[in-house]
Amino acid sequence: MTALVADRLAKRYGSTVALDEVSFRIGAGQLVAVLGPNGSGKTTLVDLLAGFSAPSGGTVRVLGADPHRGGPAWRARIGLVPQETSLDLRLTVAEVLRAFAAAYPRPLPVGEVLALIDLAAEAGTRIGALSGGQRRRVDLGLGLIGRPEVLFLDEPTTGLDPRARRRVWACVRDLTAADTAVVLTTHYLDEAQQLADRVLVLAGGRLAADASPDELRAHAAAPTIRLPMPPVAAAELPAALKVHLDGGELVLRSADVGADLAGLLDWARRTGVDLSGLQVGPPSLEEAYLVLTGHVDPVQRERRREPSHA
Amino acid sequence: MPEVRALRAHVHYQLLLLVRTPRAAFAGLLLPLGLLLLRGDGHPGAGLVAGLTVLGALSTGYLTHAAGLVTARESGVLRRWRASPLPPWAFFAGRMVATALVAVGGAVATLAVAAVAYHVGPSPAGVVGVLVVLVVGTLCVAALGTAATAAVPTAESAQPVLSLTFYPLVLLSGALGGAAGGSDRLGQVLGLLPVEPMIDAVTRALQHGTGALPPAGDLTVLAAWAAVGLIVSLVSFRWQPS
Repeated sequence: MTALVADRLAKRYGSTVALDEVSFRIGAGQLVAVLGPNGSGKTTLVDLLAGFSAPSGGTVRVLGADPHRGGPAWRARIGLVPQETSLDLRLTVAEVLRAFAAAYPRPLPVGEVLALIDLAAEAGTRIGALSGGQRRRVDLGLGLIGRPEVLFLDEPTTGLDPRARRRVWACVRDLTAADTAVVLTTHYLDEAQQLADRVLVLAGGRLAADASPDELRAHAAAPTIRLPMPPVAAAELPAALKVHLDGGELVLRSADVGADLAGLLDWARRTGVDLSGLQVGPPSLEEAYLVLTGHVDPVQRERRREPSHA
Repeated sequence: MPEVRALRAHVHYQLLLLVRTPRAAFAGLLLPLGLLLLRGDGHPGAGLVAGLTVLGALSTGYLTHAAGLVTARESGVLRRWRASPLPPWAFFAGRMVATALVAVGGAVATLAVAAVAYHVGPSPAGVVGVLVVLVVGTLCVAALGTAATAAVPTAESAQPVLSLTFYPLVLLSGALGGAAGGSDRLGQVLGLLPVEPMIDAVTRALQHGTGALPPAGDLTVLAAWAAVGLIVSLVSFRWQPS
């Protein structure tokens, strides 16, 4: 069953084109990650799909309805986790969950939601006293509480620690197993790799790719040779290889792995460089993403320098 | 009725929010009581008690209600409610009913202090009339406050914009006693705005213990302004920051 259909969907703000003739379909139980640099149109797309704004061109149907005209019965089937935490800080976690649960025709029990977001012990705590990560989990709980058939997750794990992120991932997997269609916008490519059946890559408001993570990796970028490179060794690199230095690592996207590897091994034997960290493998989703979007997203650049953050 | 259940839950939600808002306690209760003690000088007249009672109720109904809406809009809370199946009418009804309950609660506390400390209070027959005026008046200014949020771009600018449209009117209308009067042109204009009819109706109930309902003319003015507020809100209300 098709949950969402966008056909040549467009959105303009004055002379600025935020989204340019984007088309795709998403089936029930599918999780589709929407990737793209800041300003590529991700949040505009979520706004259109969730009915917050009307398209300037094209059509969109979510659960068979035009989202912009969707009434309460349609909204009861939709869940939303907005990009930024949006909660009344003076109320407790349980008070907020109970108030929203009352708006849905068949909500999850509040106790069940508290367990899902791992905040049962904080049920009586005012939201203003929670940490940023805990507030984000309340956001997620409000997105889930109506048992949505379609869930929009707009960068849901930004600011969460790795353990909390994995907990959110587990929640999301349970939802897709129960046939909920999920649209996930994220800057974390490992998140897309972990969760997504398909990836939509937006660049400059256009759809640059629509494929599974594996297909993207296979088609958008070449296999990669990686070798940690201490500064002393990096200084010895031939000019042809120096251009592939990325921080403290040689990252060589290779059209001919055999030839490039032979050259590298030969150089390493002559200079005595340690090869114990050498890796040869398919391109990462991040590399494919960078090729597709045509530039390095600042967020990703930062993350690539902090591998422990992934 | 699922909508009634949702509305009841929403009134409860908004009540919790309001009673935990320091602004509501200050403007709705502490300010009128403090002014009553300062200005009363041991013998406050019915006009002053009525004016301060209305000042407190309208502070909650207009200032606290509208500033809270702007803050909720800026923080994304309104957008989240808009994405839920709670119908917009139920959202506003819940918020306005909660606002009216808190405003009338504060006004009743002010009247109770005036009655106990200064023996200025409505007769038993006048109590119903005072409550009707306070409820209708609070709902009226809450509708106008909702409309006014369209002219407030950010939470930071809420207080100046709302205060500018509130305090001159309530002070000229006699919130501190001594209205501009009905004989001159200003007095006639004030009589057509929502605050003076409220103060007049409450003053009459305190002075004469008039019948169960306030004058129809006063209620008509309040109802007309409530209608204006609702219509402007329907056309111009924004659920998201611009």
